[in-house]
Amino acid sequence: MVFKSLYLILREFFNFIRGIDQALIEESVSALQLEYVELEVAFLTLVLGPLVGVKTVPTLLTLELLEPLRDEVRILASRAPRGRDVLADLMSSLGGT
Amino acid sequence: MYVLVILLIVLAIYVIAYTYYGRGILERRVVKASPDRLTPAWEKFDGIDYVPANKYVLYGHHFASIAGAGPIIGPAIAMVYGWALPLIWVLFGNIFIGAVHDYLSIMASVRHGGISIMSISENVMGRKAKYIFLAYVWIALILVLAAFISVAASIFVTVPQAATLSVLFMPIALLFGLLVYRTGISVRMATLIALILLVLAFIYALRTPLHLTYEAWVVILAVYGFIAAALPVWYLLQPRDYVNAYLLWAFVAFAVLGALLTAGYALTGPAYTSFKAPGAVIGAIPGTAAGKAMVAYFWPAVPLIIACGALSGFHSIVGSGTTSKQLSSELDALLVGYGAMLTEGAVSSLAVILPIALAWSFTSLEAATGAPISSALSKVGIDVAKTPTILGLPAAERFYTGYGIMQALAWSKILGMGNFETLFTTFRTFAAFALSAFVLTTLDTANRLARFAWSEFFDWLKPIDETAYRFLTNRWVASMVAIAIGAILAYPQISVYVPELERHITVYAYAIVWPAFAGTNQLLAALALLTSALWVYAVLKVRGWISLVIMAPALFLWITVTAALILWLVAIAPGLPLLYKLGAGTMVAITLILDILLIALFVYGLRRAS
Repeated sequence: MVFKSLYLILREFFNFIRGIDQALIEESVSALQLEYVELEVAFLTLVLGPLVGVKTVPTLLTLELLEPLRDEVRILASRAPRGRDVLADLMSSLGGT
Repeated sequence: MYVLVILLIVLAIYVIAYTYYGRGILERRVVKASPDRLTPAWEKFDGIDYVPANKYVLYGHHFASIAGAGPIIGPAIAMVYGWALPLIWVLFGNIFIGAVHDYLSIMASVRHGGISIMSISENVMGRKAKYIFLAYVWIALILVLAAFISVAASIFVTVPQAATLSVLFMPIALLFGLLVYRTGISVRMATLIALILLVLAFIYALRTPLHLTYEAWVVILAVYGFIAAALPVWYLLQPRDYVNAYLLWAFVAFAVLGALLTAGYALTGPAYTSFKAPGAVIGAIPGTAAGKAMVAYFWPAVPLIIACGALSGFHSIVGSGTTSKQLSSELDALLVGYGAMLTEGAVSSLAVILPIALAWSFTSLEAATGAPISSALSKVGIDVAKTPTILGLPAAERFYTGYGIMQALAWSKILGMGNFETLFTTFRTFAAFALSAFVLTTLDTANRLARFAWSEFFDWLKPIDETAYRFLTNRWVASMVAIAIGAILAYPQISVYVPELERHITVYAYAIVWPAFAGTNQLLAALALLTSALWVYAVLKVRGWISLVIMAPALFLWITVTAALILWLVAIAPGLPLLYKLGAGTMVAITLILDILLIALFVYGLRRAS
């Protein structure tokens, strides 16, 4: 019983260390990821703009791109309602005070 | 009192609080977290923004996002009251306010599909609340810039080796970025190279201090903050933040090891000195009437001194940002939100309060340990005859001198007392460098965020006058406004003759600006906690004494911070130089007006929910 508890505690401890290590590795791209998301949004606005009245590229080209951009359109649709709520995302990704 | 006793008390209180208060009351009775309820990470899974993460990985990210220089400076200033009151405030603030505030912000965001606390405040208190939050954030960020530029400049003046290392750190970070993002070397290999180079740079810096004046450093840091905030992140910001994360964990690990190795030593500082302190502790100029007047009563003045170590308003925004979108299960929120805040409190307790309390009286500690403390201090320009206690040093210097002494005592037990002086210089420089690294990270981050908050705040102007909107929200204009105000407030360094000490002392700008920054930050926390309390009452429909568990600390904090800021405006601000009356004074006055507006919205929301 005691050994089992000790084993569980040790296992959690090593999981904790592994988790911190993984977090450190992921931190190496966290801010870049945020910038990537911004670029992606800019790109999608550029190619899909004509669908909402923003004249960027010919509408036919946008319609032609709809099929290959299926996943991106889904992501854009999920982000659109949060367009005015990105300060918190920025604050989480840029480091503490 | 022995180091071991404090260490055990702190750890025991945290474990009990986490288990019984966090899990037993907050998780099970207030929020009623359930592993069966889908979090936004699953419900809205898109593989990019909404992705479930392992709880320990998320804890690591969240802790890196909330921890910085804030938990260090405040407790170092508060040591004038003795070590017990700051320690009690950090523990009390952590358990009943700070960690609750962080946990509820995450959970409120999770239950609202991952939106931020500002948008939640808009939902529960109306649209005006969001703009008030944004104005708060902007003002708090400006004061962060002012305080942190001054802290970094003061560190570089007193520990010029840390300046050398900070300068060398930049090309190392750039090289890391190039290695990983341009040459394709693995992150682990590049990390190893960067860390080895950092150690070599550290050794070089110990022998080659970089001497510049305080004013010169303020200008350099302001220019740095402006440029770094405008650079693409992969050049400097990303690699530097990444290497900093290792520094943060090394700093925490050394603090714990140091406390364990010095467990048998008795603290040389008094547990309690007085409940009131001179106005200089909360920003008045020493030597002036306001500086001498005993107006800094521990309550309500404490939130003007200890900010992020006990609780921080910024955490509500951080927690409701990416963290809430990556939470895999509602049960993980306790470790990530509540646990990470307790860890930050432990940093304040073990890395700041404990070392300063141990090293308080240099001669007593020397007599008790036999370590050559006076001689080691004289090598860094501290004359023990003129400065017999650590309180004679500016706040930032108290921290890295105390940390250096504790670490030197700890490791000289293993490496021999003959190495004490070298160990002291090494760890003092390490602590100063770590503090400056956290500060520098915050500088460009705060500038970017201030720019963004500024642009968001003016979105109401767009339909009225697009030209004015475009000018005001231009990235260079928005960046320049923030950093310029910050740098102007950070620039002065005042030399004051103090008759009691029979010598001149240097007052860095951060000693004046810090209370305004801390107060604004704490007020933001009070408002975020009130928002959470309203959410618990109006949305979760929690009633009875359990709802008071949240409402009472929220109101206590709001009353405390509001009273403290009024005290500061009445007793301290009138005696400050014109620059600070107009700068920090106006900002604090505006935040108080916004505070009253928001509390009115809170009461309105509460009545509507009843």
